[in-house]
Amino acid sequence: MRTPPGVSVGRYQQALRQFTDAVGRDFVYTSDADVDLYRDAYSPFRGENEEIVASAAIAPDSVEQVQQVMRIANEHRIPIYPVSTGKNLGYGGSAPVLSGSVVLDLKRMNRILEVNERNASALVEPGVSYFDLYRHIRERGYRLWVDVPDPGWGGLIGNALDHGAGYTVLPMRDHFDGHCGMEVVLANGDIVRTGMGALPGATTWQQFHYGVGPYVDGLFSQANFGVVTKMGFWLYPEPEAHRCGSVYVPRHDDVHAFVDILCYLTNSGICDSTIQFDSPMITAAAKDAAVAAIVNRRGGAAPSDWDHIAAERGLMSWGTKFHFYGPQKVIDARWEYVRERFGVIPGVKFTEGSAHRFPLTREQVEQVDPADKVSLGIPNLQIFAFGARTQDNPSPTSGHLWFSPVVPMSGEGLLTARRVFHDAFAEWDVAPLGSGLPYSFHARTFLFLYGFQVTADPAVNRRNRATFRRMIQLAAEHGWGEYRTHPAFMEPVTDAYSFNNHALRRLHETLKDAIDPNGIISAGRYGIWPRHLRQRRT
Amino acid sequence: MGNRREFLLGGLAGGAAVAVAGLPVAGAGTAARVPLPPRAASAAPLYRLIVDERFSVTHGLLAAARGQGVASSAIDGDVTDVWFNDLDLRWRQGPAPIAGLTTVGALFCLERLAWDAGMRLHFRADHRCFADGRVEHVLRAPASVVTRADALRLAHPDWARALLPLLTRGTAAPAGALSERIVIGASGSFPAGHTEWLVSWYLGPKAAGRGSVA
Repeated sequence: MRTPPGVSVGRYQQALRQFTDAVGRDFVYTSDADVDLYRDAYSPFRGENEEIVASAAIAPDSVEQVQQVMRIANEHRIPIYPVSTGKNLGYGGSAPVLSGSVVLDLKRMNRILEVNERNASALVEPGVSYFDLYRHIRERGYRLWVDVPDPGWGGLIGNALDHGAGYTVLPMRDHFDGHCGMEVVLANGDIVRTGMGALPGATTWQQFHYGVGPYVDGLFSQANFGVVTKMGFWLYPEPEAHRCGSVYVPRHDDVHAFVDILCYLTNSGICDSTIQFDSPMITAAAKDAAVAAIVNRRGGAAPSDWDHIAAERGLMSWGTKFHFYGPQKVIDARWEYVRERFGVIPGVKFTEGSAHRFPLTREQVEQVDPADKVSLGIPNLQIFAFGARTQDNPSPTSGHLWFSPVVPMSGEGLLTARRVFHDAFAEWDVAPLGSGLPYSFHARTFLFLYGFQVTADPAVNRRNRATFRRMIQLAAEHGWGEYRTHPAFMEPVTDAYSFNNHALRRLHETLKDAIDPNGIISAGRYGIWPRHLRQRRT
Repeated sequence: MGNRREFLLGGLAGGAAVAVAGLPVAGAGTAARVPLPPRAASAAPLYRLIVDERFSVTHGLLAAARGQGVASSAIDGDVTDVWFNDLDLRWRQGPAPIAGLTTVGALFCLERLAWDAGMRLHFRADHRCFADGRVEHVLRAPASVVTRADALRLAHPDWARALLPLLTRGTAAPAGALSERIVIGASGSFPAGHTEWLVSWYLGPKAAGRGSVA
């Protein structure tokens, strides 16, 4: 039998008996066959002794059962690791940070407690997936959208708490920013409701974020201060129409004007979808050695060389696709204004994209271009079909880890980050997955996403882990930090946020000691260790 | 199911209609039969066969399934439609076995979704093709099933298709760790130059006595 660290077998067995009394025999899992299902499918330690594994799992069905479990865990000092649907692949899945923890599997708590069409909000439990809420909305004919990430099988609460994001409009596509109100079970079994939920009988829990007094919701994201058992989300009123269009500019140094205009348009809400930066030049470099020699030059491309070969090949340098949602006349006007603003850049090209009017029938949903589904709030699993071995992808991996630093949303920020990262890749002889171009999921920033492979070969995984750690350090040296990370890297990632001798970490630890003095919840998550385990920090 | 990618072949075929005692070996006029492992008394009939129609090696299996009235769905790599519009709704009523010949990615998704419905992987045969024409098959199943599956491989040139009776018939939930056997041979029905890593699989109800979530 696997046991939690520092807990005797006898005491652990006593706790398991009490967990069984609380949630029922069928929902306490201790066999290796069952517990192995909670292993991280993308673990970078797979096949090595360092792999982080749970000792057991418990699946409560109600908030009352969660309270009982927390009281029992607190009594016996059993480390608990809550997961919602456990699909946070690339960022740890359902495996804990501390080996031997008991996974608190909340997927049976899958009730959609309310959907308010007038105020475009929902209140859900942790086991509700994007697919579940999407189905619920469609079956009832609500004229609402839920913003969905890639892929759609994750839970709304788990994704929001790990600062996940989607593709439609702000604030809904920043899933934590788009939440409104929480219910949280603390380590001692007490229940807290945040915002207006603290007011008995309040009818605006999912409408007004703050309630009164300190706004504490952030304490429960990427943290370990409580178990979130309910969460409200703002939904997007189904728009009348959608259209999209692309803008491309020809020269290397156009990136500065391009991003400046982009910033104005996104910060003012004229363009309000996720930005996925594109560069036909960089794409061409994968297959054209001459282009690659210029694009991937150490120290950055020389603009004159770049422009010369771009003109020779007929390739544009930079671009992106905009999605517009709303009344037809409004989105037509927005697109016209976008063209007007970018029209000042000589040689700019515009391309019309797909267009839709809503609601879509089921047949129309199935006919939506797979690449556009997430932009229309349609959950799917298409992303798992992209990793198949094909002529262009001869070596599919067993998984990946995302290195995801936040960088300034400016032309200079983009070019500098690309140069720094790609010079390092060349020096270290590594080739992470990804376009090497930024996204803007969250407001006012670029996010780079580099995928490091998880393979069946521990030697490759060891090398990729080492590279990942070097990337964290390299980014930090330039003032860039990760927005989210796999448990294997939570320590170095959070260690980089070190202003004033790690004052933020010290604050987190002060809070941890006060709120969860026995340190039973998600020990080590995002670098927050309970007092008795702080020596584990390396 | 109204899905443009699906071929609903005879609706929800009953187990008796699709279960056969052994597969007639079609190659070169032979008529031998390879006995199949006994189906557990509790084994439910196959609910749906899922194949990735992008790969020609799946077409024989799909045609054979169609001929036997097995409810089948063809996908193009993405399992969303078949899961969202069919399996999720069915599995809300309880476990219902499915089988397939798909990419590893499709199985990865379906297996995890099946876990949540109280199901487990009973059988898996990875088919990895190499540029020189060899194909490596890695079989994972209870020992008796591995033996039978390998016998089917030796007896039939189109092994992907030959597995149909085993996939439709199902097997009892493995009581412990799955046995593994690796065999390497000529590509057979896997065309030369075929580079996809495909997998035949069966997902059925988990063994009694285990918890019902994940």
